[in-house]
This record gives sequence, structure tokens and C-alpha cells, in this order.
Amino acid sequence: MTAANHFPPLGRVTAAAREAFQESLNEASAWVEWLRAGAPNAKGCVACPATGPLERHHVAGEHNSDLVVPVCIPCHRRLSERQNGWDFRWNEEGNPPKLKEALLLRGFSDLCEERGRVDAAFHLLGKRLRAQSSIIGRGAAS
Amino acid sequence: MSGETESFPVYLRVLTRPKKERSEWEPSDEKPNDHLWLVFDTETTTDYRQDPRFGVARVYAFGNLLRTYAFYEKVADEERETILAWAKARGFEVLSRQEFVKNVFLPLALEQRAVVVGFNLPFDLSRLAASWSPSRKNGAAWRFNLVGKDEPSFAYTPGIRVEHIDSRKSFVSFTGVKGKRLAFRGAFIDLKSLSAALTGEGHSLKSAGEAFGCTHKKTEADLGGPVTEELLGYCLNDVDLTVELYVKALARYREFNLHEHPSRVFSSASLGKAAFRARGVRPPTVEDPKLVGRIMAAFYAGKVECRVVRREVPDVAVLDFTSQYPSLYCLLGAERFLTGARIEAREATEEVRAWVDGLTVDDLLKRETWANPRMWSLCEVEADGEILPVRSPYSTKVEPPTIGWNHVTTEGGVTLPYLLPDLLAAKLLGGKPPKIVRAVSFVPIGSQSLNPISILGTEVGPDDNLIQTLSEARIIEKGKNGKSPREHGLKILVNAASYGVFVEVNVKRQSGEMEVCGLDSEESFEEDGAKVEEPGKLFSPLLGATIASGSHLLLALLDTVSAKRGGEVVYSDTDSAFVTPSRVAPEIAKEFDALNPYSVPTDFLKDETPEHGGTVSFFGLSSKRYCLFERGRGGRIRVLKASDHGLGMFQLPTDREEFVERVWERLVRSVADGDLSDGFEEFGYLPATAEFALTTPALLPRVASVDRVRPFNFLTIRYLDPAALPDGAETLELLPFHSPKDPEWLALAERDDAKTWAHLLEAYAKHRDRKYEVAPDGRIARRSVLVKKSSLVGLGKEGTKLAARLKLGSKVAGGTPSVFVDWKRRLLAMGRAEARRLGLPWNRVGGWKRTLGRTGTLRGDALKRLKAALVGAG
Repeated sequence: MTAANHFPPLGRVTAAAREAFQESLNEASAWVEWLRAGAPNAKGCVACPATGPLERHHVAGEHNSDLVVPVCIPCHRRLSERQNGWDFRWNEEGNPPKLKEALLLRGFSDLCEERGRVDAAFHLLGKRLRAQSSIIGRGAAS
Repeated sequence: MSGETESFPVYLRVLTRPKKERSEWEPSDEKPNDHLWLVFDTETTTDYRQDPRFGVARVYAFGNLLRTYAFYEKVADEERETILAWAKARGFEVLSRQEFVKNVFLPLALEQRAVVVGFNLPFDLSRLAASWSPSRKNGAAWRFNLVGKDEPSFAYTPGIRVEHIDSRKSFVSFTGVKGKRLAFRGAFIDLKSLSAALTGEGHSLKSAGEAFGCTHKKTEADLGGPVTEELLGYCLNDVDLTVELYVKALARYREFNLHEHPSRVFSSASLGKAAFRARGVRPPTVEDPKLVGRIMAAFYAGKVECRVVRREVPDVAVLDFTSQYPSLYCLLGAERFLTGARIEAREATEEVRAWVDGLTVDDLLKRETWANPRMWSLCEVEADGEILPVRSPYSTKVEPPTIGWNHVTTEGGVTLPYLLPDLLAAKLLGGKPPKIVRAVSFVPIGSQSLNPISILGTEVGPDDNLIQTLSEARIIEKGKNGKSPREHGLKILVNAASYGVFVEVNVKRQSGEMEVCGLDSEESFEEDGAKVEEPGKLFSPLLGATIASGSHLLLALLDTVSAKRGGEVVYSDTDSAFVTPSRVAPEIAKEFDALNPYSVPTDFLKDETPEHGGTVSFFGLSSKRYCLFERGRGGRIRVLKASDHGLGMFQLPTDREEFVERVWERLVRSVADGDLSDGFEEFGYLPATAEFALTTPALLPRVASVDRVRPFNFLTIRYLDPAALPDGAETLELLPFHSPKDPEWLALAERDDAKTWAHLLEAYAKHRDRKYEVAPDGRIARRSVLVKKSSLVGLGKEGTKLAARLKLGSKVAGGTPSVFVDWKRRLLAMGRAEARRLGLPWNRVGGWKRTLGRTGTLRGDALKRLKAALVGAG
């Protein structure tokens, strides 16, 4: 067997890798849509494979949206810690709708980044959502 | 043989290649999001405008329903209130059409790459459009603008391009936006196409649901009434049925284990192509384009002949070759050519001549003869009255060409290309083969390294024959479980992958110089054209043409064996033949047993006579127009099988099958008795109309009189009686859609200029094949055709826009095949006598010659007139 058999042409490798990454990105995008609908028929934690005891996580904080998704206790702890690093108004009542929308996106961004610890496409989508949240949030502040 | 030798234009299929190859931009990064689906349906007004009223859309992720939207467009205030109340009670969101497009459709279908699913999707997509126009890139396609032209975002919002191919398939994609191409063209799954591809037959949503065993059933509602909860529920049920159908169709498609995305599956042929692609097959080509052109020129599709015309033939049996094209693929060893590293052409004139001369009928009933490499030979022949296929209008008038097996004689110096099986068929039919002037044999060299694949649970190894392995799996499956979905899937796949895909070419608009190969055995010529033929991915005319000629040889063999057994073939169509008397059928079938190419036992030629009580009779008018029937007590006719070829496009208010049987019963009675005195007056109350959808922008001028018709709107074509019209007047008109169930439809027959079913059936009963003459005993008499060099005409792809051409005529529908003649050379060589023969004034010809010498070409009317004269010169 020659080296050529071991190593397929680089072009083919990059095309396959690009396709695989796009597939992951598609999955991440569908996953966020699923979360947006409250993760119907979720079998366990939405952020990791755990199926143990689950808690209800308010994606945008309970004052900003009713949207809750099931997460395991360790994920919930980490997500809550992330929320503490958000815009200080996240835990206040009576926020303007734009800010609520920005915080909801930030919540999806956090969930993506939680899953993104093992999947780069989720991480990338998380970053995109975070950037969008930031833009919308800035608009809300002004 | 008909006595007189005639000369008509003779068409040879040619190969056209653009002089300059243009690479077309292909999006590279296309992966659709299969986890996310947007499924929708719209309801429209029932008037001729069919404007959108409302629609229901559902969004799914990972198979879970996420959200449901109701959107509305043209509804009264009370109707909107009904929609709002209905949606609120169910937790659905309500949007206007424009909001739905902007906030749901585009973000999902484009940004998130969701799969858009619908049944007859082009119709529903056109309901979402704010405006429409012919596509700039492809004038035969529509561009749907999703936002209004008055909106600032108009130029930056992608539209949807829809190119209608036929009633079962359309190509749908997003267009680019101002100054930017899109990396993702969209994933649109029209379940009408997918269900037809998977089942091999056309479906409505109702019949597709039944065919796939869906639990949701199509419901009925008053579509013309106001928007009510019942109507909204009807639309929601349609969406749910569509979703269920999608899930089931997808599951069935996944069993094929093919890589092609379902949005790219347009027909059964797509499955065949995907199977070869999954194996990694790259068909090798014959290197010399002139030789490839000549192979194309030797390509004749399936043979259809009605041998006994307008006579009742009692006691017939139907014999049918089992999966003829897949069987021929295996019998001829086509796989070696498809998977070879390259194909070499070798001069083999003497060898082929000797082999052809020595072959007998008994040899041709042996598998080894068919597997002989010499079968893959292209021969240049000089014919002297032998029976060979000829594509010609068989008329001095301008008529579309048809293929007839006639006595052919070639003028001195003219040779015609034929593949060897056609010459062997000529030998069987006429006693001797034509003179082979030159023969080239093709040999596959080396082999490609192929991937193992698994299709519908059948493993195909790298060295296995794909078609043979799948066909054998099908035979075994049928033996075990009868006609199961797996057996049906295998049948569709092998049939789709064993012939048509090798001769697939797609016509594309591209102006420029092209090389036309195949019309002459030695030389090609250049021609300016507006259309090019792009070869399909598996284009390999050697395979397609040889397999098709093999089918002609099988029929000739069946003819010979029947005659030997004292029988007679009265009708044949591609892979089946009707033989009389029926008692010889089993003996004939037995003789073909040795040709079974499979390692599992099966009948190669089987009796497929419809179930009957007494003896079956045949009655035929022409190719494809026949019926099989039996006579009951008192000579009463019971139709067993009737063709509706030539009638299928006309609208009927009653069950079509029953009606066609009634028509044939009447035809048998009146035509066989020679009594047509009363015409078909009892059918005169039915107007001759056809349903037609506005599928291409080319038809827009025809509907100018009908106000603001949307693309894909259904229209009615009303045919007019030419006898009631002034000379040269249009014989059809386009009307807003009339359902045959409405009383207004019946009223169309009462107009003075109306063509009715009585007119249709009268013409139908008189229809004859031009390709043959008919002897007094009702048997066909083959014509004697003299082929001159000047009567040869090159023919481009046939069969685009077939349905539209059939209904509207080629003048209106377009899509007529291109014809090619080497006009430059013939003009320069033209003398006075030739000009006179062609009816061209000599002074005009002299002027054209000077223009050609000066500018290198001719343009406009001059070129049109010259070409028309050359093409029509029989």
C-alpha cells in the first residue's frame, strides 16, 4: 500500500471536514430552535447527556421570559454562574422588550457554549448569538 | 413491402458540443439542515385568479413540532377574526403573508437552511410571492419575488427560481441577491416528486398518503365558501398529512442508503444516478467526439408497432420480457463498459462481417452470443432494402419525426450508422443484413476501483455487477414476499439505472459556436446556436444506444420464433408483444428461457395476458392506441385493457378508466364494422378541454387576456373546431380554470366553435401511423425509403416540454428540438439544379454565397429560408 492510500488528497479532506462542520452547525441551529420552543419531548438535560435529576432553567432569567428548559444540576449551576456575569439588569423586573430579547439570545448563547465545550459548531453559534445579543442589548440601552 | 421507393428527410440524433467550454458556478457548501423542517400549505380563492387566502405552516426540529403559524393574505375582516380565534384557541401564531415570509420563511429556509416541505411546492411557493417575472438566468424559469418591489430590502432579498420540467418535477432554488451569489440554494422537497420517484407513479396528496400508509387522511371541505374553522382544520390536516408523508417517504428513501439529499431526488432516474455515484462510477467515454456523435446517430429508442390495423384479431396472448432493460444490461455485459478505466475503439470490419453472416436464430437464443464483445460494434452500412429503423416525418409536410422499421436503401456514397444488434435484427426480419462498409468494435480496458454499497438491504461488493445483484435480490424477494415495498424499490432502481441515464442530456440556453458531430461519418461541422446540450452525469451513449438496439433485436427474435411456431406478432411495444394464436405463447416463451441472464431462475419472457374468461381479442388503430377485449354472450364486448394514449390529456367529468373502456367498446364496434356513419355524436355533449398550469413564462403572452394570473395557476385550454373557424385562426384558447364537475364546463360544448369529444373520437378513430402503409387485409406494409445525402438532417434532444407541446402545440409551447444541417458547405456547393430542386431563386443563392464568403455566416431570414429548404428536402 502506498502513502497515497493512507492520505487522501487534502482537497477531499477539507471538503469532508467542511461538510461535517456545516452539519454540526445545522444541528446547533435546529437545537436552538428546539430550545426556543421549550425543548419539547426532552429526554434529559438539554446541555449535556445527563438523564439524572433535572431542574428547570429560565433561559433569560425569570423576569425576562417564561421560557424554561430542563437541565441537570451541575449544568444549571454553571449556567446560573454565567448569568451572574450578564448585564446587571438581567435580574431586574420591568426591562424593555429589546433588552429582554437580548437576554434571551444571551441565554441561548450560554446554552450553546455549554454544549460547545465538546462541539466546536455549538461554540461558534454561541459566539454569534452572543454578538447578536450584545448588539440588540446596546440598542436597548440607548 | 410497399411498392414505390420514397424519399423523406431522415433525422439522425447528433451530438452538439460548445466550441468554448464554459464552467458554471456551483455552490460548494450546500449542506441543508435536515434537523429543521418547515412544512406548509396554502388555500386559495377558487376563482380563476387562485389568489392566496390563508395558509398553515408548521416548524419541526429533530422531528418535534415546535411552532404552528397561520398566515393570511386575501381575507375579509370577519374571516381574519375567525383565523385569529381559531389560532388563539390552539396556541398558534397569526401573521400576514408578508410577515410570514420575512420573519419565518426566509430566516428558516435560508439562514438556518431548514428543509422546506410541501406537496406540489411550486404552486404553494407561487402563492407566497409578492410578484413574479421570468428568471434572468433562465428564461424558461420563473423568479418569485418574496417581498414587494416597493420595499427598500427588495434587491437584497433572495427570490425563488422555479423551473418546471414536467408534471412530476420542478427545480426550485433561491436566487442570488444584488451583487452576491448565495452559498446555499435552499432545500425544497416537493413530495409530489419524491413520492413519484419512490413509487414510480404520479400521485395526488390523497393517493400518496394511501400509497405510503399514512394514518392522516385527506379530508373534504367547501373550498369556495368563507374561511371557517372547518376550512382551517382542513388546511391543518393537509399539513399534518404532508408531514406524515414526508416522514414515511424519507424512511423509504433512507432504505436505499444513498448519499443524495432528498431535495435533489426528482425522479426514479435520480435514484439510479445516486446509486452509481455511491459506487464511485465515472463512466469512461469514447475519446473521439466524431465517433461519439456517430453512436448517438445510431440511437433509436424503443420499438412500437401496430401490425394489424383496424381489424379485430381474436385469440391473442401478451408476452412480456422481464425487466427488459436491466436484463439487457446484464445479458450484454454493459457493466464492463460502465466501470472500465477507458473504452478503446478497434477497427473490426472483416471480423464483424464474418460473425454477422455466420449467426443463426439458434445462436441468438444463447446467452454466449449476447455476451460476445462483437455485439458492441458500430457499423457504417450501405443498405439495399433491408428492414432498419429510420427516424423521419414520413411526409413531405412539416411533421415531427417518428421511428419506423422500413426497407431502407442508401444512395451511392451514403452510409448510415447502426449498432450491431440492429443489423442482426435486420437479418432476422429481412433474411439478410445490410452491407457493412466499416465496423468499429469497442473494448473496455482496465477497471475502476469501486466502493461497496448496501441498497435496500442488498450488499453490492466492489466487483459485483450492480444491476445484476439488485435484480437477483428483487427476484428472490418477489419469490419470498410477493410484491413488497422492497421488491418495488429494487424494481424502480434497476429500471431507472439501466438505460435512460446513459443517454440523458439537458438543454441549456447558451449562445455561441458549437460543433455538431454525427451527421456525417467523416466530418463534423460548426453551427451557431442558442441552446447547448449538456451531457448528464452518467452520459454514455454507447451503453444507452446498444441496450436500446438490443431491445429491437429481442423483438425481432420474438417475431422470428413466433413465425417458426406458426404464430404472428400483431402488436409490439418496447418490451412486450401480442401474439396470435395464444396457444403458441408458452412454446415461444420457453425458447427464450436460455437467455435468462440471472443466476436465479425466472421467466425471461412471460405471459402477461390480462385475466379473462374466454379468448382475448386485440384491436389496434396505431402505435400505442389499442385495446384487448373479450366477447361475451351475443358478441358483447368486455374491454380488458385499453390505452388512453392521445386521450389522456383531455378533461372528463367521470371516471377516466370506465370512460376509456366505453370509448374502446364503441371504437371496436364501429370501426371494425366499418360503420362510422353516425360519428360519435353521443359524446358531443362533452367539450374538448384540457387542464393546464401556467408553468413557464413563455406562456404569459397567451394569458394576457386573463387578468393577473399567477405562475402555476391552473387554466383550462378550450379546443376549437377548425371547421367553424376562418382559415389560419387559432384552434385553442386559454380560459380561467373550469372544473369538469361544474355545469359551466358542460356549457362550453354548446358554443358554436366548440370542439367536442365527438370530434376528438372521430379523429382518433381515423388516426394512422405515418411510418407505415396499410395493406387491404389490415396488415401494415413497410415503406421503401431511399436515404440521400441531401435528406440527412441532424436532430437535437427530443422531448422537452412534451406535455405543453401536446396540449398547446409546439408553436406556442416551444421546446421543439433543434435541427442541424451543414448549411455552409451545402450552400457553397449548391448549383443551379440543386437550387431549383429546393425551390430557391438562383440570384438569391448567389447573393447568400457572396455574403457567406465575405462575413463567414448568414443571418436572419436568409438563413431561416435556406435552412428550411435544406431540412425539408426529402
